[in-house]
Amino acid sequence: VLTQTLWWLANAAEALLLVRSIQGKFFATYLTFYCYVSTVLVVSLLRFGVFTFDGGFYRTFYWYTEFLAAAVGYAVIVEIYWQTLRGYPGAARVVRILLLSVFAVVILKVVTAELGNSTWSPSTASAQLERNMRAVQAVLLLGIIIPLAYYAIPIGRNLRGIILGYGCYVCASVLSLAFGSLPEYGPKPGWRLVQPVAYLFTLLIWCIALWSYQPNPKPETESTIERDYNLIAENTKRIVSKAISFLKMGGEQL
Amino acid sequence: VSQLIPYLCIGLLLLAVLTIWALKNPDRQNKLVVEVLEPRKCPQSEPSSPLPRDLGERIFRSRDWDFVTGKTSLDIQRIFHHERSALAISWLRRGRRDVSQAMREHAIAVRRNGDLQFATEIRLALGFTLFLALCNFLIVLVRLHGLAHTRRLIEQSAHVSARIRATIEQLLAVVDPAKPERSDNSYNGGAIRS
Repeated sequence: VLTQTLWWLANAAEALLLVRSIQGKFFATYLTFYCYVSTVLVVSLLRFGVFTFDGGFYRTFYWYTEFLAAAVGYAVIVEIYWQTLRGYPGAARVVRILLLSVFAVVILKVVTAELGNSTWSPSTASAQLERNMRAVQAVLLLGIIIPLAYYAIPIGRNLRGIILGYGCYVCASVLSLAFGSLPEYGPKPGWRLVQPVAYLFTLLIWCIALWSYQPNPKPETESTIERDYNLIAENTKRIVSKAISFLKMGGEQL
Repeated sequence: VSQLIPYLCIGLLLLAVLTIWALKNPDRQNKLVVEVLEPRKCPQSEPSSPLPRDLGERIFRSRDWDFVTGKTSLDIQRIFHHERSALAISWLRRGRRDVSQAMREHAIAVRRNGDLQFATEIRLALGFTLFLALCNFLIVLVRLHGLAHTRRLIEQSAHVSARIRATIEQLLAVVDPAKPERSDNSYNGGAIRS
């Protein structure tokens, strides 16, 4: 009964999110994000149909569609990247290099793991694949959020809500799928509820943050003062190294 | 269970970063942007020192300690010790606050700059992290052991690192004799300025 309630509540919240975006005319502004929500809603309804008419196929269908939802989730990260760092080329460069490094490490890891793996089982592979995909999403989100905080990029309520909600869901998914893959935790029904509850919490955050349109603050107008990056970096470097040398008390003296 | 650790670390790290980021006050950040774009009147040709050297030297100077230890009663020594520890912590906190402010101003000034260099930014961030770690470590040390004991610990660690550095330089001289040796005045033998 609890699973059913969570499922219906999630569907209702997704529908509400879509209706509000169409009413407020900001569906197109966050197009990729709303495509993700629509995909999850359609998949959820399709699952219900499959469960009702062909219960035997449901388990296979569930894992394939779960994989699809996790894959579409990458689009949300791309949306976050474009929307938050538009107008901040310096910070965007840092994030781009971080994200490319994450992808390079992941590809390297996947290739080496596949070369060393002789056995492959579809039943365990789906759960492990989703866990790994969510873990990569978590690292990518970290690669965006840390520079956002470091460079103090101003963000509107809508995007803040999208990042916070999706971050919570990815975090809960990584932890629950990791514990769920352990033999002693997997069969316990409690672990299966973590993801739906986290998703409902995420939808609650999204419904509040995206109730009405609130654009991102516009980047500040360029100052008339000449902004030479090397000069600024050199000054900051001098301040930091001077402070470190004072702390060492007797070390390097500038 | 060991294969669970990386996923746990990633999940918990994301949770911590999300919480810190969500709790950051956007209004305060916007105020800082205004301050950076319209700097206060008082132009400085040289960046000011975040930690005033005179004050720092005075706090950690051994001359005052020697005088108080040799010429005064135990009560006065205790009061002096307590006051100096409080002053040292306040000096370190002020340094931490000022350097953090300088880093924030740097980040805001360069975030729209197309010439930004990733390597320089990483170096700066690492330097800042090292400074914060050192500062926090010293604050904890002074709190736990007092200023006098902290001075002794710093002296000891400085002597050890000087010995290690000298050994490494000797090894390098054997391996690569063409490499010029570092000048002797680059390091003062681990002694605290007094």
